[in-house]
Amino acid sequence: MALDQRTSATATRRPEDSGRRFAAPTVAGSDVGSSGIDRRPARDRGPRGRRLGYFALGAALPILILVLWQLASTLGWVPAHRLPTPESVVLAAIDLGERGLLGLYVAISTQRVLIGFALGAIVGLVLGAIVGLSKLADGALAPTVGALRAVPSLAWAPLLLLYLGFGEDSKVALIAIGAAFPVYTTVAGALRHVDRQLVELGRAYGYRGVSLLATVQLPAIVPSVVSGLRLALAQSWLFLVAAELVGSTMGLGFLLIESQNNGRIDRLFLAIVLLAILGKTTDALVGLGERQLLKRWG
Amino acid sequence: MSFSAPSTLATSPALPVRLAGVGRTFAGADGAPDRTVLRDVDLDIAAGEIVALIGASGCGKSTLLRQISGLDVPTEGDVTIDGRHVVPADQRCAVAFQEPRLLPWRTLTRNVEVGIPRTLGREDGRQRVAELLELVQLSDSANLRPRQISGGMAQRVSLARAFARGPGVLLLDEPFGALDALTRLTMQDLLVDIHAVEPATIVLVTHDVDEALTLADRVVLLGRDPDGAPGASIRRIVEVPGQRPRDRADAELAELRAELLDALGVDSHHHAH
Repeated sequence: MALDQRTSATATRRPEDSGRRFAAPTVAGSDVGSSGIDRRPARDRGPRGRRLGYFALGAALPILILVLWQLASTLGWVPAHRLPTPESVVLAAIDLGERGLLGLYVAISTQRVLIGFALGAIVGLVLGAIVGLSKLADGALAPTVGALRAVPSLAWAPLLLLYLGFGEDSKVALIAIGAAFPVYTTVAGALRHVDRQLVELGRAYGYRGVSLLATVQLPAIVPSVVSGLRLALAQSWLFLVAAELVGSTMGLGFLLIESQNNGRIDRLFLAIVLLAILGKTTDALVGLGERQLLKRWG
Repeated sequence: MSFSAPSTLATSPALPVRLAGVGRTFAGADGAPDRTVLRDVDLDIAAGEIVALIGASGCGKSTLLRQISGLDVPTEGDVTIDGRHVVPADQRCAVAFQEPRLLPWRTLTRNVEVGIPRTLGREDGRQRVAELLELVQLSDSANLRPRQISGGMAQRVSLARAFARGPGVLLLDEPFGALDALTRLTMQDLLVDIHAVEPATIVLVTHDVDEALTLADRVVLLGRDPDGAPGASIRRIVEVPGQRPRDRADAELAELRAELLDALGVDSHHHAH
């Protein structure tokens, strides 16, 4: 009965299904007793030790890079104006921190990302739902949206600056554009591929329109939506830098462009490291939420 | 196992079903020829009757069931329930599909809830779900998810969900297919018990001639006319004698069984005395 352990919610019927019905049944009642089998496997045995080991494995490469960096800069493998020492980057961070700029830049960039991401995700969800559910909307909108999606992020920046000015609006708008597309694509695609049998089941039991959406379609796409959101968040950081490079007076992108102009390579490195850390942290936070959601909906 | 009327009866009375000249032809995609699956199906099913549909694989049994449930529309003829035309996804019917079709993100309890009529109050609904899970012997698994249970268990959840509706017409597409032999017999008895208390009209697709003879008032054999037009039609209708619950070893049933197997083209190895 190995195959029968899973309910087949898949659209395709396995060819051996009909044959199976006639096959000699297994020991009576084995059917009932198997409920315990699929409970969480023994993965959590000694969880702390294993997790620490895993963490150490992931930390090994950054530490190695740090060591090589230190060696390369102090032993003069690379000249100092091309590669600052790790120490000087830390000093640059302290220096900027003391002036109150580091916290400000990190805060303003994070704020732009979060607001832009939230707006873009909402737009992407709504647009994706419309295109995913309606063939008409798919035909009418999908080609245009696809073309807009192909426009490189930097191409929007001058236009948005012109329309929305130098302030926050233009940055947030650019990030929202960047965040909307991954969400749109995953939601529309996932809705189109919701198991037809489950949708028909919902119809058979009287669900229609919004109630069908809430009962069957939306829950079915939760895993795809979450991975779409994760992509969108990564994209938000990309578009943040694009926005801040083009026109801003603060933020990590501004730090990048200003440091380039002033030849402050230590600050350049600092900005890059900060972007890596911030991006990874926000992604990890979403990942945590994803795990919780998948436990419930996966 | 005995069955008493649930404390929260939410059932509609059994309804008669009439199929008149029903045919279903699927349009061929991309220049492929049209495919006629059903033609000229005439069948009158009385309120509260149990009819078993048997026939070779792929002969249109499920398609016929879909015409009654309103999940598909016949290309010819009419289907009426209680004298009124079937509407798309007709809510006078409850369907148990061939596949369990459980919502993977819901517990078994919440899956059975899908079948509870929306008119039933929250408390009553909850109580009925609990009773039904008890009935299909899944109370202990009520809080599991579909991926944690076997195919046979999933099929019983699907049955409970269809019962939950308390429908006028209950449409069962090979409801006991994935069950092991013993559970299958238990579930057949359960169906008979439930039918005695909440007498819905039941149309049951099955591959199992014994099952058809145990459960049904009439067995309808669906099949193609080897020399006739394409599409399956009713080849034969067999009245099953006696009252339910029937003795599975009854001699008269054994004769009918041999006859039906013969009609299905299977040698029953039965020797009449």
